Amino acid sequence: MTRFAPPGPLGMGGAPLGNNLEAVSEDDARAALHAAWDAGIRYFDTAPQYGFGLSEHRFGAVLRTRPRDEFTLSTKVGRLLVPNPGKPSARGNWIDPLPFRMKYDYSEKAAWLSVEQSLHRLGLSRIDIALIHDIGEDTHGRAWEQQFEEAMAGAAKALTQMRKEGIIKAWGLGVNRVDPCLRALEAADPDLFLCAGRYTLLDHSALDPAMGGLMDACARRGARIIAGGPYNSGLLAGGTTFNYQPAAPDLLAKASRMNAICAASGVDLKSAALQFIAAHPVVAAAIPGGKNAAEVTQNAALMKAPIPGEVWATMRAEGLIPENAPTPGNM
Amino acid sequence: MLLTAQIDAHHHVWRLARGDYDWLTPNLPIHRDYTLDDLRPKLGEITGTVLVQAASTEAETRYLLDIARTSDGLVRGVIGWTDFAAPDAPDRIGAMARDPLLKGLRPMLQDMEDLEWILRPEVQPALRALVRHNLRLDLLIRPRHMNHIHRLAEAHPDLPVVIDHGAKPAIRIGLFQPWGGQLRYLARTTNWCCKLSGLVTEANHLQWDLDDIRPYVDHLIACFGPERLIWGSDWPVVNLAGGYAAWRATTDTLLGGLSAAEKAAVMGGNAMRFYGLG
Repeated sequence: MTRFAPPGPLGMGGAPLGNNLEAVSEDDARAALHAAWDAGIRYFDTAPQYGFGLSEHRFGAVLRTRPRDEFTLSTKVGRLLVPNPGKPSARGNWIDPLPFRMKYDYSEKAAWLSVEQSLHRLGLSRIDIALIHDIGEDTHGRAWEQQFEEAMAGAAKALTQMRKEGIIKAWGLGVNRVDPCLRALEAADPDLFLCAGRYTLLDHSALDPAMGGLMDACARRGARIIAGGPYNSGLLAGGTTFNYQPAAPDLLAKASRMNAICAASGVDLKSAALQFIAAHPVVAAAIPGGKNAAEVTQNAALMKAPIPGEVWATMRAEGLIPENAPTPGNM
Repeated sequence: MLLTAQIDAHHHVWRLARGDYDWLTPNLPIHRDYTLDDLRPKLGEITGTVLVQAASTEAETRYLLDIARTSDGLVRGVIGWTDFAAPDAPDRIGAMARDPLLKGLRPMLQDMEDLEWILRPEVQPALRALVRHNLRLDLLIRPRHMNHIHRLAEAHPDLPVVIDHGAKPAIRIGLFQPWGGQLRYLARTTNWCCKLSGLVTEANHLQWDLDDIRPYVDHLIACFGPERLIWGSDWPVVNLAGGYAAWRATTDTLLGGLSAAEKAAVMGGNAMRFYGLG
């Protein structure tokens, strides 16, 4: 089955340009997007949620200046933005967001409305991929199954229709957990999953048969993975957080050992983190964020940097990466 | 005391050397021949069966009809196959329907790329031919087909349809919704029947227990009622997940809340009526 997938191996994630945890200036945002283009990146992912529209505005402002057929753009549905007079300076993880608030709505009608509103913010006449955002237990707690049900009977139906009519090329979920992806593969006909942090050097949930074997399940349906959060929110980029929480000691030790193995061969751990993800044939692209031109340019260089085979061989021999994980040059 | 014959309304047999079982790959533990002689010792009080196609060829349907004819009255009906999209499908269906043992046809929708294949214009004449020739449609669908499948009932209100295996909810990963809500809608808006079969192979094959299966069976009973549920074993596929006797015992327990008459309907009467078994 041939399904549409974004061009890889590297894309650009859009949360940082929505001022996620820290403010990004307009100049830095613009420069980051131009740097991505100059580095050859042609896949961009954003969402209404990111800065309550800010990220979409910023992506659109730059991408609008480029030939539309030369890049792939994804955004999300599931949260509608509602004007919110009396703008607060920060809401949740978003610093200086636009004066809107979010309203969860996974219905069919809301998906149509959401895509259209995104087009207005982007200033573009089409997106390529629409992802149903955050239908998982991490966002909705125990009520997530109700939200999932509404999304499958609602938004999924709308997106399937949009794909049929050629309004979008592909649809899927944008989530942090493997369960909703596994269920969506059964309940509907998604093309891809933007799954953050569940296939990285440190987290192999998507590969784990005991967790449902998402990678294999995708391969059977011809679906693809877009790997968000390739550094697990910091631990693989020299930080100490994993999924935005302080990392457990065993994970810290594992990351530290991986870092030592990489350093012994003159390799940056971040480079190994990106190239490990990209080596899996189900992965269409890894999409680290970047809040300025330097970070984006560095990500592009890291994806291309040579990594000697001994790095992978040592990690494998020490059981740091699973047997069934492909590594570059060993697919 | 059961009031009517007990019927296994869904099982298969196969001979691998026939060579048209595309899905039956060597890695599967059921990759070997299965005949009626393997089935008979498992049947207990069951005196009649419905033999269902397992290959997308008319040759397999002829093979199954031959087996039915020589089964000493055990196989009361065959669910066969023909290509519904073929331009001459209505004529072929008419010719096949002359064999009184053929009770219905089953396209293998679950494996098709186009989830809405059954709604394609070129398939509609075949569906109308089924109605004309008093044949039933076995609907081999999965939850991913359920956003659109109600349109089949809208287009062909007179077509007798049975949903195979409760539409195969992915029990192993806890998929209940949206399957549950969509099935309730289908049950409410159509006169379709549903087979109580094939569920344990959707659970964890090696580890399922009664409590994994119970909510799904309860839901099937709640949606279709004891008058539109039809029991089947899905043997030999059921061997992947515990085998014939385990599924039989499971359904015995899970149907415990029904009256004797209701249980008899699920275990045989409904199959007799729906498929017109002699």
